[in-house]
Amino acid sequence: MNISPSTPILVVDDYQTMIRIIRNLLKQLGFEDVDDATDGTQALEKLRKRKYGLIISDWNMEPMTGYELLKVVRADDSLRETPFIMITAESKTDNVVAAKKAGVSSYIVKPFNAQTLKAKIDAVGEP
Amino acid sequence: MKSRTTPPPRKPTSGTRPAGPAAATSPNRPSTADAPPDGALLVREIGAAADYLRRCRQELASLGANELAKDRIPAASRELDDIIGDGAEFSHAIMMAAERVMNASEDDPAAYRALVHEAITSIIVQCAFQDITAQRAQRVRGALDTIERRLARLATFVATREMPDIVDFSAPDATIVEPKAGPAPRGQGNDQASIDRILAGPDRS
Repeated sequence: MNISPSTPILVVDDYQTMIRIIRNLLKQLGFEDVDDATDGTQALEKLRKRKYGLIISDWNMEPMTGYELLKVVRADDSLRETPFIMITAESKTDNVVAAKKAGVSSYIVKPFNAQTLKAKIDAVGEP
Repeated sequence: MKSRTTPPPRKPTSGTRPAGPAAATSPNRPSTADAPPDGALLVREIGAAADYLRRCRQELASLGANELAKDRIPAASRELDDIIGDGAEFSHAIMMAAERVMNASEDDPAAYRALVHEAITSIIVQCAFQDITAQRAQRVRGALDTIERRLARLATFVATREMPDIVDFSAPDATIVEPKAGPAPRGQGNDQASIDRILAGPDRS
């Protein structure tokens, strides 16, 4: 799926500071259409109302985690093709393997830098 | 006018036993006339004391002292060390970015603008420390909650103090904080390069 500066992006994180960080980085990378949600449940509501070209999600959130959101997205015919980048402090191998099995497009461990975010967005946007 | 009835004869004092600890505290203290023989009462009191000690042992066992001492308290201590380490590391990175701007030459406006842009991006990214340290702090709080609840349960049982309004005894430990969730201890877990290798590698069953 091609990702361009006009691609709508949904950022999902329960920490407002983290949402602001990712929003600011995306803005610096040229992305203009960025929306946000504070957990998987709220994200799903938004995903079913609007077509997003990229989901960037945290893992640990309540009531629905980013991992659960990923599984729901991949099981939904209308959402399954949406690139999904997990940005999380969860760096244990079990977590990475579980996310991979669930169909994550890319996985960024916190703390991360702008170059890493750009590289992962470019990679998932490649045809 | 009521006629005074003949008072009942006084019970003999001889042959009655002196009140023991159980009899003194029991709300169902039998009347002297119903009191069992000394031997039976003694057996009952010893039985009650044994039952109390047995429950004390159960409550002490439920403290999980070994688990607290070997796992939860050291893990919480490590989390606090990591919070301190994270704070120092992120503060250093923010300071470095600020100093790059302070020490930069403004002779070349384009280069200066690029440097400021890079420094601001770095500062923004470093603000992620709040998320990471907050998750570590939550796990420390979870450990403290567990210890508090277990100690309060014991304290309440032995009646040294009462805390039923503060502590929810019905909540199992694991429901407060999942200790395995959140950032790995510093130096453990995978870095970005390792994660990229896992994602690029073959599927694991």
